[in-house]
Amino acid sequence: MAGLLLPGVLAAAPLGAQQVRVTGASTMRYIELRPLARDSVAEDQVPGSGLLRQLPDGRTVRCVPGDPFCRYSRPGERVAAVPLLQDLEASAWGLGRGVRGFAHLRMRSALGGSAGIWPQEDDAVELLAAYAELERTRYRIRAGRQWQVSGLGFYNFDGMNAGGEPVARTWVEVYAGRSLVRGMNESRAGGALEAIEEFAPAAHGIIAGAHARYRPATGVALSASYQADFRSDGAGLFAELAALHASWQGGAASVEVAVETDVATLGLNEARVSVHASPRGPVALHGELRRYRPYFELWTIWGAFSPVGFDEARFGATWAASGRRLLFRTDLAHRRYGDAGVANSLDEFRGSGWGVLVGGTWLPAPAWRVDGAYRVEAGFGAARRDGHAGVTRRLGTAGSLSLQALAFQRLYEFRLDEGTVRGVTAELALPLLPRATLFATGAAYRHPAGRSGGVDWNQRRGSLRLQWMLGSEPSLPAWNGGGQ
Amino acid sequence: MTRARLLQAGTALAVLAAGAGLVRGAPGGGDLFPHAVHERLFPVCESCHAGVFADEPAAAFPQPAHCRHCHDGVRADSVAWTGAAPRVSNLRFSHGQHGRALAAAGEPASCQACHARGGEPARMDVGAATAERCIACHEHSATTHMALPADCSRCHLPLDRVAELSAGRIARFPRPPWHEADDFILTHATTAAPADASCGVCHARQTCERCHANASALAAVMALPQDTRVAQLERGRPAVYPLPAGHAAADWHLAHGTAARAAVGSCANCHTRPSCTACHAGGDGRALALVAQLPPVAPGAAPGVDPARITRGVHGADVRLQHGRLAASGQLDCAQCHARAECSECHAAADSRAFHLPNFVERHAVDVFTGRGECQACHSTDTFCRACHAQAGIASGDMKAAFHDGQPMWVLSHGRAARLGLEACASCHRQSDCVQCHSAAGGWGVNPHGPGFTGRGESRSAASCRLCHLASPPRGSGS
Repeated sequence: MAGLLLPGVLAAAPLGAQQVRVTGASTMRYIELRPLARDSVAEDQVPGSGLLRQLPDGRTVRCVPGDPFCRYSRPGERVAAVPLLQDLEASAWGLGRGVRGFAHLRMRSALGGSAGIWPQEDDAVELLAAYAELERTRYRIRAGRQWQVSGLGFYNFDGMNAGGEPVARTWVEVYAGRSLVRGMNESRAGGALEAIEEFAPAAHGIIAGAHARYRPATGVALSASYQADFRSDGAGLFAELAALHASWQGGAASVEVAVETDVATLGLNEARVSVHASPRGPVALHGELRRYRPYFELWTIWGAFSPVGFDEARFGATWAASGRRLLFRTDLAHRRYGDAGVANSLDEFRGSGWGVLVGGTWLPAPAWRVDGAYRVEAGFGAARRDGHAGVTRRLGTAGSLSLQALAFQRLYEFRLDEGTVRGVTAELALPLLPRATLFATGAAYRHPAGRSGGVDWNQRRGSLRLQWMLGSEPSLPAWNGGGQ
Repeated sequence: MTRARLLQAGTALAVLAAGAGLVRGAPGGGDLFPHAVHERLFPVCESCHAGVFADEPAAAFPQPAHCRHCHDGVRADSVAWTGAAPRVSNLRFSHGQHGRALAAAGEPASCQACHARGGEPARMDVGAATAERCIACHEHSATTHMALPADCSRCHLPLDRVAELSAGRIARFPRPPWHEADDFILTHATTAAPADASCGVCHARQTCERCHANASALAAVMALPQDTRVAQLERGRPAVYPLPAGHAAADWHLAHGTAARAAVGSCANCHTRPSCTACHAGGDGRALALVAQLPPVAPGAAPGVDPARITRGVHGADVRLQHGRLAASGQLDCAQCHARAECSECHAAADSRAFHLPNFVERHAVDVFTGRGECQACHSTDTFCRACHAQAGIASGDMKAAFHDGQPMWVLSHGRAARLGLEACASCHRQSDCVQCHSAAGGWGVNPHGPGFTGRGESRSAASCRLCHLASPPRGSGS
């Protein structure tokens, strides 16, 4: 359906629409990687005994009894790729009162280099969205490839969405169609899953959901969402989810409550209470209590492994001084993981985790910005330290040049320490025309202490991105240069 | 008003005309003639101003030759008096009419009645007539000359009918005290409305157009004529947009939409489209419809409120992670401000520069591990992540290698780690990696179900159960 709509929208837009806006982004990247490669060494050449042994050069190998070879991972050959990405987004309106067409097309290619090292490089054409919309004062109807954003997240599908305002301050919408793999824009029964998952489902998903919002007063909002994703072969569900959200914002304070559940398993995916307060003065505070449980779609077996999550308390403060030209922020978090119910585990993992972040921003002059942050995270099986500092010089009204230095210690995830990576990056935003901006980035990473069996992060990266927009009033600005 | 008072007023205005440059048009303006010095020389005003009440401008002032009878440079110093300039005034006033009115009332016209400088009329102690003298006799709707609700146009001509006034003279018009009020700019439309003709006495359309980009839609503005002198005065002056009290409220960003929908015309008094589009970049149909009702920015027209004043930190510093709930609750309608491209850039993984931190690919693992990144809001972590990890050589394909080399007995200890961090496991491992052992139908038959496992959810998707509980999982056929 979406494939049929796209040419229609694009063709009809310049012909019949009173106004059309086309935005484009052309991106070229340069990427270096050293993918891990599997290797082996004859078992009789490996000293010691046991399942895990160490070679004289420090490499850790795995020697399975009965196997004449000990196996290990090592950084493979350095490969480079130059993936190209072309995004085109067209919005046409004026075809009739409240009628609009919208399409978002993405094309991929590569210039030389090693093929296949960048995700979805072989997906030459991807249609992210293509829908026709009728919007009137009290209702809106969309048909085509679109996405649904609610408390449940971001879901793509091919189908219909109808929403309306039956009574004041209330918005209700229902939607249905063929569901798509999130982040991949393809049906579950398509080849995208089969390429990476041996047990990929052969059935499509049929998604149906409803979302309602109610704003009883200024600053108060309530919403409820329900969504089910049925297998097209009638063999059950892919997912069934529901969410409730409430928020209150009154001047200097706000409170948010959110609950997301897996209806199929009657499990709680997430519950959260957040409080933000900005009393008079330079300090703003926020706090949050959160219960989190991983969620997996029902076509996988992961949910049957009884995943457990954690409860988290988070507290932070922001202090602004000198007319907000100096901003400090800090964030503290403590997590307590649930009981995994595994009595016979031979390793003792942490049952809790914590995180600390401190950072600041300084605006020494209107055109200058200096910022930096340092963060430490420790979990039940991983830890990381990460710091960065950078300076940004604004160039004109829309241009900027930014330099940043960073260092991070990789998460070890039940592996031996992989050392610290240091890097420098540069970003340039350069307006070429009133509605065209060129972005360029370059980065180099140094991984001096990388061990021979781990991932080698010595690499260089770069990108060029040209963003442009064609259209006329009352069309609205294109990208704002990104970032928050 | 008695006839005597009428006469007095008429006389006063005559003297005003004689004494004040505004009326008599003395070169250089002001009372250049020292009446008091000549008190004994001229017994009556008419000696010099005989034509005042006859509406004879040529006889309203003495000729220079009359002065030179004495001021010949011998008997008295010569003077530079070259004669009266033509009268230029925006007053609706004629000495002749006043004189005739007083005469008809049987009251003599008295110059001192209006032009006497002291409280008591004294001959030749005269000066410019003040407006207070006028309203002492003439009916005036305000307590003082320029107070509300005075109708200026009753005594003063609109600018377009006084073409002789220079821009400089207009610039020196006195400023009414009520224009100095703090809220004058915010309230001038309502306060001026009852007497909008008054505005035209000092102002022209360009006065309003300096700030009002929607001037062409305002009847009161269009009722004013254009004036090149005012245009000259307004040129280069910045538009002024004070902040209404309601706009300063902390939650104004939440409430302004309702106000705009109720009366977008009011917004247009100060705001042009960039005021909206600075934030409302989403292109949502309802927002566009409202934006379209605001005037665009046009060359030479009022700019509207600077968008830089409007944009504000609606979101907190952690908006990247908070915005999902804001969107979910409906507290803020995302599409009102954000272009859909902003969503798809991140949520469709086109280019993460707008959402994820720089170098995020290299640094994302900890966000996954702590669940802080809420990856599942956008990604199917067990498929999206694995596609990339496989290409980087991290994901499984050969479980014989020593990847988890931090725990020597990993095979025996991985269960707890898996339950605690299953998302990370699934980002690399295929289901078949686990089914090798955790299958009731084959492998080692290790039960992966944890305490409290009910199988309820799985029973609603029996196909996934069959992966382990049937001897031959139907690969690629609906599993």
